Amino acid sequence: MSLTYCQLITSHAAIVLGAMLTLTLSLSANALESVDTQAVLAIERPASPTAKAKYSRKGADTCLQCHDQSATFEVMALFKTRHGALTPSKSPDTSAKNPQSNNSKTSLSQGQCEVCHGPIGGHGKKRLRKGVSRPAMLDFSGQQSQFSTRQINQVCSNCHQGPQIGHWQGSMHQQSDTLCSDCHSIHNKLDPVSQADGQLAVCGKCHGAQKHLNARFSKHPIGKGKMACSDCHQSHDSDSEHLLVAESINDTCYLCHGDKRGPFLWPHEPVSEDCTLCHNAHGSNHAHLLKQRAPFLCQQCHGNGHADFMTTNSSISGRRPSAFVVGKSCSNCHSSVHGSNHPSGAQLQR
Amino acid sequence: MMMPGKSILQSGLLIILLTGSDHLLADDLVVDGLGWPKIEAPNPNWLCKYCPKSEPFYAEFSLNFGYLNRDNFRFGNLSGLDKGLNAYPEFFLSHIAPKGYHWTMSLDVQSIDSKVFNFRFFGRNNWQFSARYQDFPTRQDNKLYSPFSIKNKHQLLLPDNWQFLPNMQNLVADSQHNNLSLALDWQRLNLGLTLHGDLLNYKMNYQRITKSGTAAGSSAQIINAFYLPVPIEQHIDNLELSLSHANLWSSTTLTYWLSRFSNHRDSIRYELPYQSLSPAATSGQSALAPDNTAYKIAASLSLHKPGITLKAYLAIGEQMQDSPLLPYTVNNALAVALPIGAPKLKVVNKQFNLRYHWRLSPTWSLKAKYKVIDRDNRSPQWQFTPVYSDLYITEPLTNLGLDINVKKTSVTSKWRFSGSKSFSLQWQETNKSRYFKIKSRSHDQGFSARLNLPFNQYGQVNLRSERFTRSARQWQTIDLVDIKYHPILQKFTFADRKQSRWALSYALPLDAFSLQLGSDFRREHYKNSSLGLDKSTTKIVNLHLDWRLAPRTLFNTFVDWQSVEAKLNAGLSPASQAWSAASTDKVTSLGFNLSVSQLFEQPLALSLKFIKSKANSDMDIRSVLTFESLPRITSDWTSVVMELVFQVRQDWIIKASYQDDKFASADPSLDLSYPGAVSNLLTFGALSHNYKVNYVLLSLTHKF
Repeated sequence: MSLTYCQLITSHAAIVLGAMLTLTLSLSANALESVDTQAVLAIERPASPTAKAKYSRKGADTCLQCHDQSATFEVMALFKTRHGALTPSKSPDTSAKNPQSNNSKTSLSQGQCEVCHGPIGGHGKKRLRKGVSRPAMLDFSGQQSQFSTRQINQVCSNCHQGPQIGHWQGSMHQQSDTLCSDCHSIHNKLDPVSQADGQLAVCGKCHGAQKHLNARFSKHPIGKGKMACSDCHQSHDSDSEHLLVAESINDTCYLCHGDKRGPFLWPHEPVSEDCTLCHNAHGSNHAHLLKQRAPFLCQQCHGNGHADFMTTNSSISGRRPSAFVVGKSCSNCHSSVHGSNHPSGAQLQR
Repeated sequence: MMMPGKSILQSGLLIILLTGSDHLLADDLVVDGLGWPKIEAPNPNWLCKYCPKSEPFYAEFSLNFGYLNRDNFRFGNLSGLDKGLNAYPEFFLSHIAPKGYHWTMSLDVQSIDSKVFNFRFFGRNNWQFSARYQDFPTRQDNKLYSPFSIKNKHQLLLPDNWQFLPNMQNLVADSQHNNLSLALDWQRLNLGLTLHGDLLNYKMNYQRITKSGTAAGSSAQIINAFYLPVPIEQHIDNLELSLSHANLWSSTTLTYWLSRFSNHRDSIRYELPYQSLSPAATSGQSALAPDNTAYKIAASLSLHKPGITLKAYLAIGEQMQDSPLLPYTVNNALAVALPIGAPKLKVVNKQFNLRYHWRLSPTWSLKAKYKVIDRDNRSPQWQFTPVYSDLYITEPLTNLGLDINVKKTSVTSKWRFSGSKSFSLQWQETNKSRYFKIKSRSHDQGFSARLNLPFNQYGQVNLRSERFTRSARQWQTIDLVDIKYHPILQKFTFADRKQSRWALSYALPLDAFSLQLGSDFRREHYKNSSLGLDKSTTKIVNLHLDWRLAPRTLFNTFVDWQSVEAKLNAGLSPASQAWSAASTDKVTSLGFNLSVSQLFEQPLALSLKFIKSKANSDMDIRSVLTFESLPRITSDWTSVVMELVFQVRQDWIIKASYQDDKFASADPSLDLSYPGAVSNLLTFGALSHNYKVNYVLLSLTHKF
């Protein structure tokens, strides 16, 4: 290659750095302004149905009397994570961002369970009258009609705000009323959605059709933890269709299959246009994730090709199969189906 | 051409300019909170006496012993597991330091060939570093044979006593054949660094994927084809740098992305296994994927105002390739000079997106999208005189690149009614221009509607319907044929069609019981195609059930059924459609999972998992006079996994699992291509995969 890495990076670095510097300077003032706005908004927040509830007298000790290791919903794994760090110096700082915080040096450990789940109020009563149900606290299940999706997500975005959550606002999942807790669960040693082998189950809760395709014979190694949904999809937002990590379907595939990118001297038109014209990325009944077996897949475009079944020697069931049909079928000869760089490879044969 | 996107863009911008703070909606994206009172923290009474006393270090170390009863290459795909006893370690380490930084490290080894190492470091609030190394095999088959042996990783040689016959009709795999195993080893390294500043967020991601091993290739002399074992040694590097800024009202990101593919070899050279049609053409050469580089510079901007979100994205990038060309032929008798030694091929990609979301009222919102994608092939053109099969020089050919221009517009209106019920209606239009062998345009247009009906507080019924049409036309002819029936316009990508879709889903998520039912029906009718696809129908039905039978017993099951029917027409020319093929693919997958977390009131957990996936593929070929059903392609996978986990002590866990895995498949295109079966095809003798294996795993874990 005449263009080396260094040359490329050098040639582009000036443009990128210049743009970054401009952005930094132009946005500094804007960001400072937004902090003030945030403070004003925090004061103006309307009250919710739990506004009058009181915090517990003993913090987490009150909660753990019931929600211990033997509870149906186990919470103890939280204490193996940063969210459950007990020492203030080890715990994430919430003071600057959390509008509930009353102290400029508050950490998550000092706010304890009720920082996220809200004041305990009547939920902490030891005994309840017969027929009276225990008032619910915020459980992040999304099944509590008194809290809106936006309100629930705000508990997380109090800390995980700004650049950390990127372009979430206005994203497809945000507009579909998706809760942070629909995908993330912090009461685990490791959040399953951040693990390669845990994503299929989490994403498959809503995207069942894609999850079931993974039970097919031909598939990407997603269920085995070798690959994750997030290798191709960016759930918080993306500027491409299907929330892909790259700009297009092809650019996403090239991240691992760069050998198909070219440009080739003799390209194969549909390969350059869209990989999914021939492949089903989520799983298929046919080898190499193909949508149809060859030669029929090829004949969807090359219907006047020479794999003609009506010639006498092309029959499979006649036990004298033709090279047009068996083995790799069309690819027996046209092996460079993704494009050829051989000067004699216009027929994609070499 | 009319540009509806342009008018939408203009109106969108106008609305933003005109809409000020007067349009604030009470429950919009502005922080409204839950109205909780402020916390008195630190509260002297909140002692956290019952919280587990966490140590700075937390570690889990496991030693796993596995036993596989039969040797099966395919079962070991991805895991690298082979017959016999395997022993491998696994560990997880976590440290939360007094200063607040935190790191985790883990190693998961499945076999010598399959391992994952993870490291993550979190600064207290402002930075993160992650490293992940992964190594796994993708195995195809190891019971293959080929007469070729690989020399110097780019030469394929035949045995000295190889008989160069005109065909392979009586070929028998014998001592002239070498055993062949097709597998690739994938190694993947990911490095990530994120810095969270007060104003800006800096992110760097690097990925290197290395592939090595042997893959299947092939070549041909006229119509005599033969398979070639192709040594693979290649790697792909991807680097992404981004800078982003966000506040309540805006998010901005600048991204620089660079990718490079490097192949350690540009070609393979092979001896011709057939009797050559020319004494000078006894060997050949095939090109491997060329080195290539791509980069992109992108900027995205997201603006939020109460009730309004505007997102814009602009990217420009290039794909480049300038690898030296191989000679036309290795047949010296036909050696011709190339018009260029190393062509500089280049594609310039540009993309512009605009997304606009406007909540006009608490019950009505509008969403508009406009996207332009431009793939501009700027590769120079030369006239080549290819040498076909190293035997004769063909007519001169000029290299062509594909140019595509896509303009996509959609507008969606969503209404909420009767509480949380909603209805949305979307109009979408796509105009695509292509330039390759002809210049053509296709126009897609259609509507989709969705109805969402929540019931009983948690349940939901969703109904979705779509209808699209595509019409293509050629706007610059190259040859004088009837445009309507030009074969190129009947290709799958261009073909005029009507698409319709109906989908219905039902979800009832309750605490102890959750049920999801779904069905999807799609039909495509290629209305003007006399060749190529005629029609295609997809039907999907699925069910998923989660049921908490007891406080510590969870049962879930799923059934998924899919049928794809397609019909295509073929023949020598559009005017003489000779035959048609009707295919039906049916797949049924079902499974269940039963997990009990405290069996017999002991710290004993049981999990039983069953999955079965069965697929059939049928094909009927029909002409005016004949009808033939091709042999069925089948695959049937059954997997049963039983796992017991016993917590011996607080810090010791024993896990035992038993797996029964069975796979049966029949693919006539493989099973009927053994050497000698087809006179003009020399294959590797691959057969359909069939295996039944048992795998037992015993694992001992210590936590400290």
